[in-house]
This record gives sequence, C-alpha cells and structure tokens, in this order.
Amino acid sequence: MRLFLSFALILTSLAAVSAPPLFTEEAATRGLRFTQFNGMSGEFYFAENLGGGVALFDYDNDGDLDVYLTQGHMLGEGKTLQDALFPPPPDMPLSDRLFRNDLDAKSGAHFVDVTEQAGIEAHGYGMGVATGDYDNDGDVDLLVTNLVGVQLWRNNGKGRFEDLTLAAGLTTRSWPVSATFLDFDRDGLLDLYLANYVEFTTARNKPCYAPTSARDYCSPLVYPVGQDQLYHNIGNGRFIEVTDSAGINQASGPALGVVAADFNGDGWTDIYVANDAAANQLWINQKDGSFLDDAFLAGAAVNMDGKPEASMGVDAADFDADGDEDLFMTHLTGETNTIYVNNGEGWFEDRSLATGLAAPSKGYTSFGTAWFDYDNDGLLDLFAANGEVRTVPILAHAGDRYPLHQPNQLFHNLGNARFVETTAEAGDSLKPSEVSRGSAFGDIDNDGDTDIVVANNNGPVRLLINQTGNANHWIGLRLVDRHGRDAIGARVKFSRKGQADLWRRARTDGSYASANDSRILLGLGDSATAVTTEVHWPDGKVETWKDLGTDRYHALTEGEPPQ
Amino acid sequence: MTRIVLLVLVFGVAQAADEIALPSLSLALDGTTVELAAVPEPNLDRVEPSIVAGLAHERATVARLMQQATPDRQSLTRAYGRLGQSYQANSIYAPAEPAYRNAIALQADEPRWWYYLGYLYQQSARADHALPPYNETLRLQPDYAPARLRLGLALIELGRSAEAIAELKKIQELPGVRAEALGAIGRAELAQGNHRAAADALQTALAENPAASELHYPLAMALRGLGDVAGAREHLAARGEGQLPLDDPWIAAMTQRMTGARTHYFRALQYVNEEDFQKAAEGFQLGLLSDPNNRRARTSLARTLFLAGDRQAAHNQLLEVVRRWPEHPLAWFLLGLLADGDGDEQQALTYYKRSLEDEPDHAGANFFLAYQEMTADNCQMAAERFARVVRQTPENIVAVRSEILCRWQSGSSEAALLASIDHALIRHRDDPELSAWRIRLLATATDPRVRDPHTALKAGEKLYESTARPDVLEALAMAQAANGYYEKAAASQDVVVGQMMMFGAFDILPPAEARLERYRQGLPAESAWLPDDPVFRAPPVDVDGAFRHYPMDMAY
Repeated sequence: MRLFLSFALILTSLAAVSAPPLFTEEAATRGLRFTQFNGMSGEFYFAENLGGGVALFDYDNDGDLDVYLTQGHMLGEGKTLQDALFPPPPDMPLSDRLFRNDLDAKSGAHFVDVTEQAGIEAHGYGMGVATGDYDNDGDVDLLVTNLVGVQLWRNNGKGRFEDLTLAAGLTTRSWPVSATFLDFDRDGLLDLYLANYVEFTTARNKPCYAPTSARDYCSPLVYPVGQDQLYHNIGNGRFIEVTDSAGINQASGPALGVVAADFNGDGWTDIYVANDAAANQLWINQKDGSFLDDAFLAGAAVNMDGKPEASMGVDAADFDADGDEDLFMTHLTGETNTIYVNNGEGWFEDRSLATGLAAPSKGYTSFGTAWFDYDNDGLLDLFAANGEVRTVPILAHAGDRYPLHQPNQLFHNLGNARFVETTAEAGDSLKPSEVSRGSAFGDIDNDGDTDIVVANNNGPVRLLINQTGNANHWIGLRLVDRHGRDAIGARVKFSRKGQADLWRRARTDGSYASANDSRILLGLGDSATAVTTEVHWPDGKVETWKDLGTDRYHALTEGEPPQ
Repeated sequence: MTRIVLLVLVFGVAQAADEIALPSLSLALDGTTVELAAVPEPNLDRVEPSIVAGLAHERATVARLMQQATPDRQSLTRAYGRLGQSYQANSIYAPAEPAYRNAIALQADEPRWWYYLGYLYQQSARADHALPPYNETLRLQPDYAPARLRLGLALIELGRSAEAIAELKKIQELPGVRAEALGAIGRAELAQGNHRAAADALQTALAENPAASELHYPLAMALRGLGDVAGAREHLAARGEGQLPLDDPWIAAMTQRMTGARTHYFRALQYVNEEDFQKAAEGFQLGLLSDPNNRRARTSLARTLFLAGDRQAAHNQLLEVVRRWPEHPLAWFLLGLLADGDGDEQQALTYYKRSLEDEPDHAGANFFLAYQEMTADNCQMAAERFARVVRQTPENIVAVRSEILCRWQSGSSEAALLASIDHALIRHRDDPELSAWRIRLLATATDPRVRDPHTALKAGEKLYESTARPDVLEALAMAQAANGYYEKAAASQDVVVGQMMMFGAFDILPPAEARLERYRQGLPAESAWLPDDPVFRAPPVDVDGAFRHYPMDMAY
C-alpha cells in the first residue's frame, strides 16, 4: 500500500511538471509582427500610454479571423523621431496594420500584412477599433478611433477598404477610445456609440506629479470630460448624431470602455459605459429612441464603497448561468477589478470581494478583458491585460525607462461564484511584464477554443494560442440575421439533457479599444451530447435549432434551417 | 564580519557622496548576531530635492551609527524605523520594507514597526502580507485599536468578511475608532448580502457622524436590498466623499515625515476630497513653506482656509496672490465672491471686473456679475452675460434658467422664449423647472403661434405624474385654467397655496393666491409670471459652494 502511494505521488508530480501550458505566445512565429510606437519624448503626454487596440474579424469572409492593430506616431508639436525615447523598429510603418490570416488546417494560423493591398491608410494616432457590418452588405467594416476623431473603413467585400468617414457623416473631432456598433432601435441597421475620453491636445498637456513628487502622467480629471456620442444609422451608408435627442447628453464621464447588451431583460439593447475615475453610466433603452441613465440606483455606477473607479476595460456576460448579463470591469492599482452581478432586472451588486476577484487584482492596472471560457468547461473565465498608467515606484527606483509594465492575469471560474487566479498555469506566455492595453478574443485557428491577441503599448503585439481548451467538447455558432450580417446582440440559450441552460451573446464589443470574434463558442465540458439552441435575434424574434452536433461550428441564419 | 562590512560601507560612502549604501550585513550586538537586510538606494530622479535631502539625512544617520565600533541597538533601531517612516511617508514603498524589517530584527517587541510594516503592505495593495504584522502588533499591544481596525479592513479586502466583522466588533464601542469600525462592519455585511445588518451598522455610523457622506452610498445599496427604493434614492442623493474620523496617532507620527511640497499638496487634495478642509489647509501650508512661489497652491490654500471656516485668512492669502501675480483671474474672482458674500457689492463688482480683464470669458465672474445686474433690474445685460456663461459651461443649469428668466423679464418675444426653453431642454431634458416653464408659456402666451393650451395640459399632467412638485402643479393649474377647467385649476392651485404655507414660502405666496382667486372667478392666469414674481430675484450668492466646486485648471 505504501509503495502504491509513493508511486501515485510520483505520477501526480510528474503530471504537474509536464502539464502543458494553457497558452503559448506565437505572434512572431505566425507572422504577426507589429510593435506599437507611442511617440513618447519625455513630456508625459497624457495620451501616449493609452494605445493601442486590436480587432479580430474575418474581413475576407474566408472563415478565419484576421487582425487589425492600431498604431501611434510621434506626439507633440515639432517633435521628430529623433526625440523619441523609444524609436520604432526600423521596418515598422507608423500606421495601423491589417494582417490577413492564411489559416492552414495542418500548420494553423499564419498572418500576412495586407494593409496596403487592402487600401487602408490610417494615419491618425490610433487608439482603438470596433467592427460591424454597418451597410448590411455581408462583410465586416471597421471603425477606428483616434486621438482626434474616427475613421470608418467600408469593406467592399473584395478585399479592399474605402475611407467613408465623411460620407457617413462621422465628422467628430473628439477623442474616442472604445466604440460599439449596436442596433438600438431594431431597424436592422447597426448604429454607433462612441465612448469619448477627455478633451486633450498635446498643446494643453498639464504637469502632474506622483505621490513621491516626481513628474508623472496625469489623472483624467485634470482635463475637461468628453461627451459620448450616439449615431443613428439611417441607411444609405449615413449616420446622424442623436446624442441629444437620445438623452445621452444627460450624463458624461471620461469614457474608456463600452459594451452594449440587454441588461434589464426587456429584449432591447442597453449601453454600459465605463468611465475613468468617474461614475459609470447604464443607459437603459426606452424603446423610443432614447435612453435613461439610472446607474446609481442600479448599483453599477460606482463600487460598493460608493467610489468611482478607473474603469478601463469592461465586458458583459452571464457568468453565473442565471440568464442575465453580468459586468466585469478592470481598474487601477489600489482599486480592485469589479464584478457587478445582475439580478435579472438590471440591478447589480458589486460582488468583487465575495467572488475572490478583488484581492488578486488590487496590485495591477488592467485594461483589456473579456469573459471567455479558456478551458471549455462551460464556465466563463477572465483575462486581464495589465500595465500601469502612472509610474510604478519600484520600477522607477530601479531605473526602468518605461516603468509602467506589469504581467497579465488569468482567472478561472470555479462554478460556485468564486474565481481563482491561474496565471501561473498559463505558462511562459503570461510571464512577460509589458504595458498591455487592448485585447481581443476569438478562435484564431478554428480549433474550438478561444485565443487572445494582446496589443501592447510601446511594445510588440502578443498572440496567445490556446493549447488545451479543445480537450473539452464545444460548439460554435455564427449567427447571421435576416439582413445577412453578423447578428450582433443576439442571445442564445443552450440546452442539454441533464444540464443547466447556458446563455451567450453574439458580440464584438467590450474589452478595451478592441473588437472580438463575433462568433459564439460554448464550452461543453466532457459532454458531447447534442445541443438545442434558442436564438433570441436582435429584432425580437426567437428561433430554435434542435440537436446541433458538437465540436464544430454551425452557421445559423435567421429564418432559415441550419446549414 | 561586522568590521569587514563596515569597512565596505565606509568605502561606499567615500566613493559616492550622493549615495549612502546600506548593504546587508550580520551585526554582533549584545552577544547576539542580528541579520540586517540591505536597504537599496532608490532612483529618485525627478523627486523633489527636499525629499531627496530628507531621505539622505536619514540614511546618513543609519550609516553613521553603523560606523560606530559598537552601535547602540536602540539608536540603530530608531534610525532604521525613522528611515522606513520617511520612505513610507513620501510614498517610496520598496526601501521602506527592509528598513522596517531591520528595525524589527533589532527590536522585535516594538509594536510600531510591525504596525508600519502592515500598513505599508496594505498601501502597496498586498493585504494578504499585512495580516501577520497586524496580528503581531496586536499581540504586542492588544489595546491599540487602530491596528485591529486595519486588520479588519485588510480582511475585508481579502474577501474574509466574516472574520473581519468578528475583529471589528471587538472595537465598535471604542472611542476614536467606533465610527470607522461601524462603517467597515456595514460594508462587510453588505459584501455578504446581509442588507439588514449592513443598514443597521451604517445607519448608526451615519447618525453619529452626519458629515461622513461616504456612508450614504453603501447604505443606499443596503436599503435597496431591503426593498426600500425611496430610502435608497434619498441616500444616493446625499452621497459624498466625507470620511469617518479615525484617531491613529502612530500613522499621524509617520506622516509627519513628509518633506516635499508636492507630497504635501497631493495629500492636501486627498483631504479636500474627504472634505476635511482643516487638514487640507495644513497640507497646502506645509507645502508652501518650501514652495512659496506656487500661486496655484496658494490659491488652493485660500479656498481650503475659507472652507475650514477662516474667512479672514482666506482673504489674506488671496490678496497675497493678486499682489504678487496680478494676472490671476481666479484669485480676483474668489476675492469678488468674498466681497459679495459680505454684501459689499461695489467691491465685488471691482474684483469681478478685474478678473474679466485677464479672462473675458471667465464663467464665474460673468455669472456673479450677471446676478448683480439681475438684482439691479438690468435684465437685458444680465441675459447677455448669462448667455456667455452658458456658452462656456452649458451644463450650468442655474445659468441656463437665469438667462431664460432674464430674457423673459426684459421683454423677449414669446416665440423666442419658447425656442430658448426648447433649446435648453435638449441638454437638460430632465429639468422639471424648465419643463414647468414651458407649460406656463404654452398656457398663457398671447402669441397664437406659441399658445397651445391642449399641449400644455397634456404635458402638465404627464410631468406632475412623474414629478409632484408645487411649481409643477402650479403650471398644471395654469394649463387647466387655459383649457377652461377652472374648478380643477382652483383645486390644483389650492394645493399649491397650502404647500407654500406649510413650507413657509411666504414670499411666493401672494402671486399664487392671486391666481387661485382668478381661477375661482373663472378667469385664466394673467401671464406666466407677474412682473414682480420672486422667481425674477437673484438668489443669494453661494460663496461656500463656489469656493468648494469652482473648477481650477490645476490645484498646485
């Protein structure tokens, strides 16, 4: 018996030692070569440490995810690359980049820079990106947010994009960071919400100081707040701003994150805005083209102590399988990341302490994030892309030249409303300490598990390929609405015999300055039992598809039998 | 061993005058060997010289003691402890830890070093590390209540609410920490979903410390959880940053070691957020001792002095600012406010105008000048000035309303007034006053293009359904009368008059009674307002509010 126990222990320890990493970092080896240049020159320009963003989307409709990354350039009047504290790599163009995924069944994803070929010339100081088929022509368009204004890139479906910003009426000069496409009036056209940050120009940069008295980056509170903007898609490729008439002008804050979902369960899309150091807004859709913010009573404006938090990244999903959208938000060092649990009617409780998510996040400043099921066990886990916005004293005191970097974090959902940090299990891919910002989530190699692209500030992009998720069973859905575009905002109830129902939402928004895979990927654990799906389309219709096979993707089109 | 290390130390000091190395070493003291950790010299680029000098002084003290053939244990302990305090007070946390560790290695039975170490971990977002030092502090000095409080707070941070509540209940009756303990218990109960217990603790804490406005939000959430939505809304409306008092002499002693002006300013701003203006003023004063030419900080000092109740000192500081920096519109404006508050309108006028010389669009100066013009029945000019303020600060609802009222009184056409109200309602659509004015105008206008009693009635009924205020009901009564429903109008207006009497609003009673009489006689309201309606009077100048909230480019 003793011998057997010893043998078992040895086996157990061997298994622990040889457990494969959850993710491997493969950006460079898979052709995703990109370094964000933030243009810093020692002036502590407020905007320089906030980019960049990333989008995962299938621009060429070949069934795999391509990548768009935003780029910065030199900041400050008269500054040249000679002034840059961290010059860009010599062969790195200082403009946004589009990488096509030439996915191969055997060797996996491989990326090729097709920016010029695709006609994209984005020369703004890039912050973030949103995706959506705004013209309902069946291909995904791009909305790039810049330090000044936006660029709308219409996809012509033949591999090329056209800048139709002005033609679409998107003439804003504000500073949006995150944005989301949503159909708030159920007219079948994607509208647009811009989460605007503050009114900043390099000429109006202000001197701010750390608690140690050393020069440092400012808080957003020293700049006038930007007013978020809502644009109504009126068809014919045009938007009109409805910020005032929709009531969005009734509240504002320095917005960094935004997510659109039905928070009160009435079937209409609401909007949640994550504001930096100010109360967040929960815009409840009044179904008449207007919105009402009652985030304070809803318990989602500030944390449980009544304090506004930094609120960079945000995502909404049903992590506790009770059929409503819960919120997760990332914040500053000294604050905790916050989880707001929905009671089903749009009232939230801050359960950060009870879920175990508070303590491990308090030492980090987090940006990009998402609810995603990295191990396909049917429970939504969390990722946090970390990096400070103000000097990390211990790094500065050690002489670090860009003392903002921190490692990223991974949290596993235990299924009992508790989470545990599993960063160490992720392998070497999560060890680097970098200044991470945007992050996008999707199945890049179509192997049935969720991969991550992390956009670093003043550093290289990271591609985290999921190595173990598809050890469990899964089912993937691409939802196409009656207009022929990805049904952003559709909600799906998954039912299996003997199992609790699970809800997922088709979305591209959330995270920080980034756009996610619009497909739904549901982990099924060790059960390969066929799945029944009840799709709640954005226009209010409900359809059911029975006995869908597992371990594969399905395309479900509104009003049509399954393909 | 000690001697060798000391030689290295001396050599290190001799090599680089600016750097004072404090390496790790084994020190033989009183027959025992004490292992001391290195205290790394941090990179202090861009840190204020006064802080750098203060830290160098403390490091040199340690180094000097170490150079003695037989260092005095007590002196060395104190020196390491002071070094740790100096780093911690100036928010340079990394080297503070080994400094405290060394103080503990030299004198493990001194609870303060454990306490500072625990607090350091908590400040560095490492609550889990803070528990052992706090527990050791309490083992050595069980009656130091702030240590138990901070232990409880650390446990809350770690999600161990039940343990936290158990610790906090031990001190909830002790003076000095009672309020903080009750507040923390309330938050811990809330975190566990115990809304009744949370509400009880928070209500007790708030009743004993009404200025602790930070308690209103968690209390609102607890009440919401209990189904009391109206109570929750009431507390949401009262939420603020006012903090609970905590008497912690050990932390107060440590923070005395802040030496940089900006460090003091930074802390002062935290006190402003916490609405502790006395301490905020002290912070600005301390900072200005070494940074006397910082005009922003001196203006902030004036503001905090005023808010702390010392008007004269505030006035003196503002005079000092404008004497040394005459082109300082904010200081002139604040001086104008002080004069206005004293009733010296002429002096206030002079100061406001001086402010506008340097910044013609200064929103504050224009706003209060417009008030003066409104009081002087110069509504035309006041309206123009309010319009200027609205252009600068469109969110300023008082300016928006004042502009409309002034245009009204100065004879703007009814069509123009309706356009102004409609324009204002785009931004301030939830403002019941503006909505009520619109109803008044539609009900009483003489211009047929504007007059619309039917719309006024519908809007009045809808508004009163959601906002049952006397002014809204009075507008509804006007609309009812305009539609010929005089009995209804009289009944509504009767309620309005009753409410005015109940709340002692006797200044606005006469026009309300006059309207009631007209409705009883089957007559509509003469006009939206009578020319001498109190609504056209400028309200008293809110000096306190302006000193508290008027935006400033930078605070220091």
